Amino acid sequence: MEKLIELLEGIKAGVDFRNEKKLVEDGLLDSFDIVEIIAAIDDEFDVEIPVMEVQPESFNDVESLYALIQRLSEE
Amino acid sequence: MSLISFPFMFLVLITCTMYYIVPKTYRWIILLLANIVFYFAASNWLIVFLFASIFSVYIGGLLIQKQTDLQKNNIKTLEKEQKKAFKNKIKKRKKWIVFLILCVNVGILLYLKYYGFFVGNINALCSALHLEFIIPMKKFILPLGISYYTLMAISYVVDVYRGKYQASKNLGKVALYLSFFPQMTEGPISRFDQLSEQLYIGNKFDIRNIKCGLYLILWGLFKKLVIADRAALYVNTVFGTSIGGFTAFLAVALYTFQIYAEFSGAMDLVRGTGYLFGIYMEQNFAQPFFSKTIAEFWRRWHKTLGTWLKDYVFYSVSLSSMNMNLNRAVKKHMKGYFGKFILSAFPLFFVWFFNGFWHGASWKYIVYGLYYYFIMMLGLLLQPYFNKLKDNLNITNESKLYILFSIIRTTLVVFGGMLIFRSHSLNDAWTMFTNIFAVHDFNILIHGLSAKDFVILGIGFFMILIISILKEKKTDIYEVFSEKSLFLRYGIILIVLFMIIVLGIYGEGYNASDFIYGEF
Repeated sequence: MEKLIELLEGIKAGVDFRNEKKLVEDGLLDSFDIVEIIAAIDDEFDVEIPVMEVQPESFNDVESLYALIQRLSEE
Repeated sequence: MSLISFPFMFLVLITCTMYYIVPKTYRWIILLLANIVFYFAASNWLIVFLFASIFSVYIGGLLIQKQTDLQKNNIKTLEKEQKKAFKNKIKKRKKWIVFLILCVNVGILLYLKYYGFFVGNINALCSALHLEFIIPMKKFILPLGISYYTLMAISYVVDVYRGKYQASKNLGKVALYLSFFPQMTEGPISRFDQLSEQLYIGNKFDIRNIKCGLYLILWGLFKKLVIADRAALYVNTVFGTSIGGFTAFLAVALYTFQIYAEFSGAMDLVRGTGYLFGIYMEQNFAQPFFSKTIAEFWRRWHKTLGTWLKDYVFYSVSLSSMNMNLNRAVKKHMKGYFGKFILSAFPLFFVWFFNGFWHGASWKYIVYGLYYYFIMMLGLLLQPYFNKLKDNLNITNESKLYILFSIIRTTLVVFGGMLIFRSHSLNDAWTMFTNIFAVHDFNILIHGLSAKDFVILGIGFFMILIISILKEKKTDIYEVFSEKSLFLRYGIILIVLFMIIVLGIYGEGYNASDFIYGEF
């Protein structure tokens, strides 16, 4: 989880990733950020997030994103 | 059959009455029959193309679902390596099905809408190369709404492929979704998961929905007949001539006003008609002229097209292996902001090219799309310098003056897009653009509109402005209106109705069916 938060802070500085629960809905992350995050996750975690998993609810908070990474890495 | 015509009103009235008379379980059949009647009346035997889309995505959806279920049922029994191979095999099959369905649907659209464009360009190229090769030109009548329902058909198949929802086993549901008659002329580009259940379920009669629908229809008629068609008188007189100066600039501004009043008015009519059946359709506009940037403008203007492009073009290109490889290469060789710029530039090119080309089969529309692409990329490239300048001048994003400046700047850029959009050719657009600066002309009262007409347009502008401000403040306009006294409510309704009847443009040669976005 810490590694993911660090990665997110590296992409979008100034966002409180630990506490924010509506990153997409509140416009803190836009579609460009999401693409950058997916690319970084692919590099750092070796997990490929397919386009069908790009749903706002998976990117709204760090816990959901972490759960998605774990699920995909187990598959 | 236009949205503003007696046959349409008659169809809505009959369908609405029948809808609430028959038991709930059969209500969807009434809607489906109305869809068929509407489409056949509007496009005659071209309805076969709509049927082709419906059947192809219905069957395609089921085939994809079969593969998904096959994967789900068998994957647990397999070892890790076998799992991976099995998943890849299923994914490949699903991709082939999607590809074939897209070939059918996009193929029909390309052939009917873009044949002339491609053949014309190939012939011109052959002629330029002195080759004696000419493909005969053909002109087709387009089935009504093909540009809209094709995008909806694609979204259904791709969503089933992506696993967003399961394919429908009910052909009636898919048919209803792709053919719901109010949205066939100008959209909105709805999504299956948002619309289909509402169409199928058989909604109960609710007076609130009826009132809400009628208010929206009235407001839509006002925007189309009193504002858009009045502004069109001036626009049609000035565009395509050598008129320049302020007179030409005003034509561009009025065209922007016209297309907004007309397209958003049509959406009010469509959504209002939907409400009569208890059906909620997506909003297509969210006060676009309050936008501070072009990116924001396109999130507020023709929203359903924007979200469609984001979901099916932007993400498809962005997350493709090609773009991911580009991402890695850029990260390796370019650090910082410029790297981010390159990564945005690649997928956005496809989004804006597609946006332009979807609007029409000509270079003018491609340039129209790429015009916004160029502006957005330039903005993105210069953003760090603008931010620095803002810091040096102590300007904050919250400053009211800066917000006003940003809104005016965005509106002027939109004027540029509308100038290209309305002109007959790129040449005409350029001539008009240069004439605005080269000529002094303030004779605005000799081009189809009198001073009285300008006053009416001004009143219309303020009415739209007030409604927009209320919506921007998240005010539920229906609630506010309903809370007013009966006398005031009916007074306002009668005034708007009176304005539509007396001030609406019904002159000689006027044809209410000429909705600009209906041409696409």
